[in-house]
Amino acid sequence: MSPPRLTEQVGALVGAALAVHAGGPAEPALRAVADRLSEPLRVAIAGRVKAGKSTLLNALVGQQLAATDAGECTRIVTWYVDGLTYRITLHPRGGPPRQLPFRRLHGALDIALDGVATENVERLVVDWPAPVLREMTLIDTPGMGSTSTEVGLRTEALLTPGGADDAEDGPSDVDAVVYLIRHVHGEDVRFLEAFQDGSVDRRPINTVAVLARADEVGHAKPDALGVAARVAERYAADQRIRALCRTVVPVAGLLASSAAGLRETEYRAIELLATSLDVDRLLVTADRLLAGTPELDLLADERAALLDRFGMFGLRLAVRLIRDRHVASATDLARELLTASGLPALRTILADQFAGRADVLKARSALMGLEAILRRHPLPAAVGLLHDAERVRAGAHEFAEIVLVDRLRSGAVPLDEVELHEAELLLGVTGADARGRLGLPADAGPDTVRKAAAEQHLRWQRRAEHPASSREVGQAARVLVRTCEGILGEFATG
Amino acid sequence: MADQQGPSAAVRYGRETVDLAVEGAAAYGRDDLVARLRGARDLLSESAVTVYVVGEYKQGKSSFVNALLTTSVCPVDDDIATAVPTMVRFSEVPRASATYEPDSGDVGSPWTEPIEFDEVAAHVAEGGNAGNRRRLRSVSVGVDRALLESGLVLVDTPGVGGLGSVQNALTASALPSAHAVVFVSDASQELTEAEVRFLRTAAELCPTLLFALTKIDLYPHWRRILELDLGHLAEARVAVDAFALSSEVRNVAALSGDAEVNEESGFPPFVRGLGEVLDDAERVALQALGAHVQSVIGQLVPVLAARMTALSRPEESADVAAELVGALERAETLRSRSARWQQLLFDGFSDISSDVDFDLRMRTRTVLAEAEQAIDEGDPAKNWPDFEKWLRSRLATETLDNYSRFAKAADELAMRVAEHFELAEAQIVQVRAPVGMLDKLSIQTSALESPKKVTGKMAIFQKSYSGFMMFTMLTQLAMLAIPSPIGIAAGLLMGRSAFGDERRRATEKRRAAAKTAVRKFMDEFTLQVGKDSRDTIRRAQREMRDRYAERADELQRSAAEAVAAAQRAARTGEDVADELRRLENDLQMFATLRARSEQLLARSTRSEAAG
Repeated sequence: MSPPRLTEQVGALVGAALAVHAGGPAEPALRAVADRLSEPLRVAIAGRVKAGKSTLLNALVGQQLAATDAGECTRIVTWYVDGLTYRITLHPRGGPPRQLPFRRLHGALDIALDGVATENVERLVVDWPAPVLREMTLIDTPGMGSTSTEVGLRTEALLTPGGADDAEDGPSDVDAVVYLIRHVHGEDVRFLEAFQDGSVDRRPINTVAVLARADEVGHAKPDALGVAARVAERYAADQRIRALCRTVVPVAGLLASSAAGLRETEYRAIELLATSLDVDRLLVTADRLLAGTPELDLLADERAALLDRFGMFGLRLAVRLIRDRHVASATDLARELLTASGLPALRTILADQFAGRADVLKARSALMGLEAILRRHPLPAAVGLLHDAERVRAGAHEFAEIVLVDRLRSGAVPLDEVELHEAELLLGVTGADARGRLGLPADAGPDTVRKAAAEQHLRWQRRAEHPASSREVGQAARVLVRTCEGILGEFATG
Repeated sequence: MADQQGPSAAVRYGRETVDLAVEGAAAYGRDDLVARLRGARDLLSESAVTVYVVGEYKQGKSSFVNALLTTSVCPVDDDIATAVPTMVRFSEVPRASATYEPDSGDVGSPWTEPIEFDEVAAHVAEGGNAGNRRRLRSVSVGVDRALLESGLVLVDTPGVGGLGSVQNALTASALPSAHAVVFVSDASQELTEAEVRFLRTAAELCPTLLFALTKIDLYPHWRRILELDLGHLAEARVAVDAFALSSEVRNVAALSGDAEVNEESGFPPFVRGLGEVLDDAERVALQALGAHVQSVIGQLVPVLAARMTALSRPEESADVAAELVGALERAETLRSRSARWQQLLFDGFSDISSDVDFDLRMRTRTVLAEAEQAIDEGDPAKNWPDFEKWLRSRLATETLDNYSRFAKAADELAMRVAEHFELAEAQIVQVRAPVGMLDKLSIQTSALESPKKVTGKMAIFQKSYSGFMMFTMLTQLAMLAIPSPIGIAAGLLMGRSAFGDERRRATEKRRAAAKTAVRKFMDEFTLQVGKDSRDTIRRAQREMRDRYAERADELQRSAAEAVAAAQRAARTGEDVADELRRLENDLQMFATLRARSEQLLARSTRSEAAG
């Protein structure tokens, strides 16, 4: 049982549609859909204003690319794409794209808009050779809830499918979303707004929430990240949030981004600070550190740069690590800071859950795009294609799994907690590979996998056929049975 | 300010003055005037200066109150928030009490019981009282802190729900009774739209706004943030006094007792700012007292003067009486329904009523349009509970704005009526006194002339009508259920397995049902709030009318007594001499009293008044 891969099926459909529509008005749009299938997964980094989106982007890329600032900063949607050379292209609203000159200011890109007003820029595309961008295209967005409303609208336009009120009518430009939230109260109306802003096409399957600026949740006290982890855990357990995203992870973006580019000079500066007699006094407030002491051999702008790069929490942590002799080099310190920042956990999730399912997510986006185009430009010759597309959508087990995850998360399927957990696991919520789905260790042998899969198979088979199971449970169980069959097929002997 | 002990010299001086005036009024049997003076005196002694601490969730409100008072009365947690308002006031021994909602609905009044001081945290924080199951309304804490001794009461408001929530609107509806509001926002980011909006409303409800930028120890760029914040506020035309603070540093300073560190925390200027609020409150109370004393003297002196004329120059008494009868007539007019101030009040309140009503309608119409759009954009089957919550808080915010409009308009009207009434009063209590005689008595005649224009006269009337009653509707809003449209739940069962058109049809049906439900709810809401707001306006109107009617009665009585005094014939010579001597003494006393009340009105700070 080896049907053609989903991307191939969809790719073939798009190819057929292109043939029918060749030379027609729909061709450019179809070509874009076709290109999208071969591109890396598009991941948008979204969230409310000042949540630390650009900082997180820098941390993920491992370079200080996006400009960050104390005030509201990002005002243009910016795509970071893997490229052979360093290049920045401006896509204006109407008119052809053009290349822009740029320079780097302390590492960050300083882009001159070349006389184009911000509101006339549809997006900037930054071509940048970086390993992480080969896996996924990252999109930095202006924050929502900004004091200037039109900036927020730009993000909304990106995440919302083209002007339609139903996700059926077209996909959004992105395949997956990393959604940054700050610490908000559960009873707050904005609490859910914080998760829902602007996007109709967000599903738990393609959204991961990040509790951003995690170091500040606990007022930068030593246990701040522990507090943040507790808060994130509480969020992740909230039924309303489960319906919107897969999980919530705390990330101290500033810590991660400074760890990523930690320079030897910075390490020595922190070392100097850590061995200074006044260090405890200096680290009480940012102002004290900025004022410095004569005894501390650091220039004023060096101290200011340290603060900007690491923040109070980062500096306190780094000083503690050096003083307690946990670290003795820049590499050590970078490693420790990175671990503390929580970024590795986010990376794992992105790799396992987004990249691991990139094909399915991309195929889904492409299929939705294709259907929308075919409906908008009906041609007699393409009627069959629309049916085919619908058949692929209904028939693909991968999609059925995605839909089922949504339904489980929204509470539409009455299963008890244990069953719910196992069902989600089996659907690949925490990892798409067979062992992850079965909750087995990564080194489990094929026999163990087969045995576990057979057990699950039997169990859901029974659930599906049990007369007392409700219709929703029955449907869900049948999807799960197919998932088990897939695993069994994959590990079939001989 | 923190070293102030007991009532200030100015307050003691004020009390002595009013006590003397009470004696004087009592001597002439004017129980009505005595009652007024007693009321004014009470205002002074029970003058708690209430300062509300408000702000978004997790901005460090409780930490701020703790650091300000260098205590730990308000529980602080990194994850759990304050759930009910905490009032912190002065008490020599630490004590605490909790006030609960009456058990069911409107029946019965709130009840209060003392609680253990150590249990405050469990009561206040949501962790110990999740979802406010205990129907706790507020917690009151008494601590022994010098800063609180002069009557300052700090109210730490709950962060639960955020600025846009119904709970917060309820908190804000109490702001007109506050002397000052401290708005707390941390230095991690500039003010958000919601914060600016709330500040705008708050500024209308309570004009004294202190802006506290907290957590400056953590953010090297706090100056930039402060600048940006002030920029936003200037744009919104909200006037604030801004302070950059660090609660952490203040705590460090409290532990080490280091004055320099304390200065670094930014708190000393804030404490001074708070001291000004206290001074202002005291000044206003003293000015009110002074104005009341003057008004009472102004009414008593003409009676004395008329009697004096009748006794010493009987030949002039007919003239004097004739003039006084004119004054009496004016006083009678002032009492009548057709008096100018009555009309001012009536017309003013009709204007306010229609204005507020129109405003409310416009607001609900906007909300309805938004709600319908929201329904069109989503699927009611999926987001109904969130939608309901959104609608409720949206309405709460609008109602609060509408209310602030009313409060402001009523304030302005009160001022206009007060000015008008004051003018009328001056015409009635003018002293047609035998000036030559008074010269002989070596009384400073200037002190007996009709009262000067008092700048702080608003104070009298602001205190005289407690009419800022919030629309009670807001309390019910949280409980008011929006009828769940039928068929919404059924939608879920259909799920995604259905195909395009069928699914779309079902969604449309749900949307239509949801819209009908919302419209019904909004109708009900507009009806109830409209009624409620009209009632509130009427209550305020009635209260103001009664206040001034009382004053008009007083004036009429004073004028009538003056006429009687002028007409009463002189008896034997000996009696005349005695009475003249007594009148002379009393006039002397009233002159002294007036001089004292002038001082109360003129002196503004306690140091000057004490001198």
